[in-house]
Amino acid sequence: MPPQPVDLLQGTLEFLVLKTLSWGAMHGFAIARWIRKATDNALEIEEGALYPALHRMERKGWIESDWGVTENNRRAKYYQISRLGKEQLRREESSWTRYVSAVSKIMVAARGQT
Amino acid sequence: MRLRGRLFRLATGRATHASDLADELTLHLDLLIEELIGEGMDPVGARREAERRFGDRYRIAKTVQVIDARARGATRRTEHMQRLLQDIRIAARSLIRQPGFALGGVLIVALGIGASTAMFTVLNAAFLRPFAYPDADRMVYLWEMSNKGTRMSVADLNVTDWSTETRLFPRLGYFSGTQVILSETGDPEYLRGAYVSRPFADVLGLKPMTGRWFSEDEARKGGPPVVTIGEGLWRRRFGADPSLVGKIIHLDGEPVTVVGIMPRTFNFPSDADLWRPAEQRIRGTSRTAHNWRVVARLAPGISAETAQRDLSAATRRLVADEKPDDFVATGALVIPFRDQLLGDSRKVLLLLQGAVLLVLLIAAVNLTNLTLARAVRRQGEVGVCLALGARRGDIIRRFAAENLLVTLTGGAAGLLLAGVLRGLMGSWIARMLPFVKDLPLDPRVAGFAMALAVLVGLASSLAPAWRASGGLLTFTVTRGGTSGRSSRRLIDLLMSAEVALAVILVSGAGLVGRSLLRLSGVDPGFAVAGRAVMDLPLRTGAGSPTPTEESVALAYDRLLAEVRARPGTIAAAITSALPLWSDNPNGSAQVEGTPSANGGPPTVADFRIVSPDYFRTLEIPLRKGREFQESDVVGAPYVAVVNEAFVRKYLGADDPFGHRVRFPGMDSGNDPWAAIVGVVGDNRQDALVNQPEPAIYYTYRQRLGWGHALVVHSSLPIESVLADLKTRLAAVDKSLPFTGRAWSDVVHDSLALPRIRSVLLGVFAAIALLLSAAGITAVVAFAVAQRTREIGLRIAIGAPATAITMNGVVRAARPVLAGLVVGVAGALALGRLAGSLLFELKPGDPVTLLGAVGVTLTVALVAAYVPARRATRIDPLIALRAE
Repeated sequence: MPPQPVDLLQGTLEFLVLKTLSWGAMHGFAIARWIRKATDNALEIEEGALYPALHRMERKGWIESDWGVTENNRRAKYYQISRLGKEQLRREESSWTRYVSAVSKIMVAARGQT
Repeated sequence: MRLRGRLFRLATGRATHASDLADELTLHLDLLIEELIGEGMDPVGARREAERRFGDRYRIAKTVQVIDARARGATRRTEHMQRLLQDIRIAARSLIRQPGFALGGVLIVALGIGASTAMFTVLNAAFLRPFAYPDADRMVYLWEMSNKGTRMSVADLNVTDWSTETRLFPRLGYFSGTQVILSETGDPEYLRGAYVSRPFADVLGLKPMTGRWFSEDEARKGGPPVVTIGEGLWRRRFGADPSLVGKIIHLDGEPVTVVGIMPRTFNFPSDADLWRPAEQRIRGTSRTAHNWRVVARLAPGISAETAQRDLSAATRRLVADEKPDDFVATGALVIPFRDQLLGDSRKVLLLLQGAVLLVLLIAAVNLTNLTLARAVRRQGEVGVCLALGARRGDIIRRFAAENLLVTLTGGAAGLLLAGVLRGLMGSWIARMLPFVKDLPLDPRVAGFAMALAVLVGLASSLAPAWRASGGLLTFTVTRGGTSGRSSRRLIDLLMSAEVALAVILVSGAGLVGRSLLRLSGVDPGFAVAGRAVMDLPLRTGAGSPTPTEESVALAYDRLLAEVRARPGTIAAAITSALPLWSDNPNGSAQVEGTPSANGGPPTVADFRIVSPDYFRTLEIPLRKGREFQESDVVGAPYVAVVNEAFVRKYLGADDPFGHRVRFPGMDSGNDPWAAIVGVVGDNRQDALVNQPEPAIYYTYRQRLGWGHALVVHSSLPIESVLADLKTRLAAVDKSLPFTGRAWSDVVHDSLALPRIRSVLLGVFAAIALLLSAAGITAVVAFAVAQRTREIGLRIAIGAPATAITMNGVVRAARPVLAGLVVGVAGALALGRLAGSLLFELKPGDPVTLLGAVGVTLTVALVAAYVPARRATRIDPLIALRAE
């Protein structure tokens, strides 16, 4: 999948959501928390930006949603990854790895020449 | 669970969706605030911080709503698709369970739609396909009107004056068809061509593909000999030689310079291969020599009606000084281009399309009946569905899906069938509508077939489905009792309709077919068998073996003497007016001592030149006086022979031999009075349909220089006579094309149009009969199946086989008889439409009607008898044990 520069941030967010949901169904707040914890607060995003991404991904069929209740008995919308989403995640993981290794190679080479 | 959630959302709509979204976002904010408070913030600060970290809630909600709205649209579409696919799956499964219905239905629909679509390819090509000419709907044909209201070609002086009416027609071109001989680059061949005026190409709106159109200098009296040739001829005879433009070719032996190659689309008049400037040929001295056809373009804002009114007025001013005559125009006629090209074919085409749609109607009725019978049989199934909460709409949708599956398959098969039929109709169309070059299966034709399929599919399923789904649950319980009574009435009604439509079609085909028989049986007034005919257009002029009119006459004499000397020859003759073969010029003759000689009403007659043996060769009987003799030559007393029609019409009880006749203006020679020396029998001339016209005959020895044909009566096989004639023609002038044929073939061909019409209608009628018969058989078989128990019981108690059979046949008798009565009424009403296709036969011809009724009744009885007879083979034991 060729990287799309304009959608890089959006694509990255979707990737993170898919990765997060691969551990199990969660509601939006839990997803945000999980991402923050996993990245050691390194990626500071507007938390509200998560929701357009979630609904867009649902439309693409990558994730599915259902209404349930939280531990504190509050009505919440739970998202889970779909079969399509798992395939997408696999694709993005491999392209992400390639991207990262390519970038780090450049970094290493640059350092070697100075 | 997921599906239920979606359905719930679908059902409850947008408001719920908005509150769902609010819930989702609020929960997040609340949890965030709780978290911040948990980290030690005060509630007010926590809320402010949470709102900062969350972002603009209103903007986010809006974005999400847009995304979801798009998603809902996509979902609705896929759900519709899924429901449709499911309907189709269920329908296919249900049809496979009873393949008889599906197969029968597909076959019926394929026949009906195949025939309709094949006819439609013709209508499409003739009425709907655009012409190659730009803005063809502004193109018109112009005619002169005679005092009798008939259209005439346009006279030389009139056409040159009409050309100045630029207010009505900014572009106006005139043309006249011609035949020329091309003897270069291959066998000598007749070519169709036209003399066309210079604006002609502008009227058509097309340009040469190579070279140029005629220049002003070429388009004038005395201009250099030039020609433009068609792309077809250029490829066929000149190997698409790109350097042909500017070269000289020989037409009728004369050198002519090719100045341009016209594209294939130019092709006008039909089948013309070359064009020469008409201005070089027009004499421009007469308002009664009707030599020209005229095409023009209407000025912007001028309608055909306005143009006709104004041109008529102008024409009446032009001819004001002429002596009133049958050949002086009394007005003008302006006809849209397409209407002119379609001519009388329009009526024939619409009639045939109407006939074939009746066939389709029978097919639709038939399918409806099959569906009804099937619906009665499925009452149990439908009842269960209704009991389980299916709505009436669901049942109807299911029936419609099944029938649509059948009719769409049938429609596709019908389209293939139309493709095959189209090939069979090609030669007929080429003859009737020369401007139609092919019958494409274009999107419009495919759309027509599919539209018919959908129409038939819906129409055939709605009534049965409505009826089946309107029933009460009790139907399933009281099955086989009263359940089918109203369905049975409908079935009978539809059966009557089928029979009625079949009677209409059969009687129509009968009328046209019997007309054809009468036409073939017409006594033409001359003998055809054993005669070979060929053109003999000996030319005068430089380079020709027969340079003068006198040498042409000598060549005819020599050739006739040679042919007579051949073994087997019984008689041979030369004529300018071979029936059903040559042009048939006519004009105003005069009879000495009658008003026609002094400016009174003219004596219109055919003008025919013959050799002395002509009447004997054709076995045209001599009624009075004598035939032409070898001694009737130039210098001897000038003589004429007339036919009986001439005597009847113009001489009455007078002794014909007291009269002398004259035919002024037919040729450039002087025209002395000729004494009538003989009277011969009448014969059909232009076509077998036309009654004999008055005619005056002259001998070719006294009136020289007319184009001629040779007819030979021989006892030898025609093929060998033709082979012999070919070598003999080459001996006289090897640049002349050989056109010899058996005359009987020519006569046979002259009936090609009525014959193909009859064949088409006959085929339609046969299909109609077949479909009706299939319908009747199905209905009776169904009735037998419904009453298996009853019949079994009757057989058990000893009913004779004939009674059982009769019972089945009688079941069909009432609707069939009703159908016959309605059909006869319909045939009487619709027969008038076929009036113009009939020959010496009235539309309400009782013999034909009786015949049609007889044929249809016989077919219906056989169709009912077959399944009724099968009923006698029901085993009473099995039948009684059933249910």
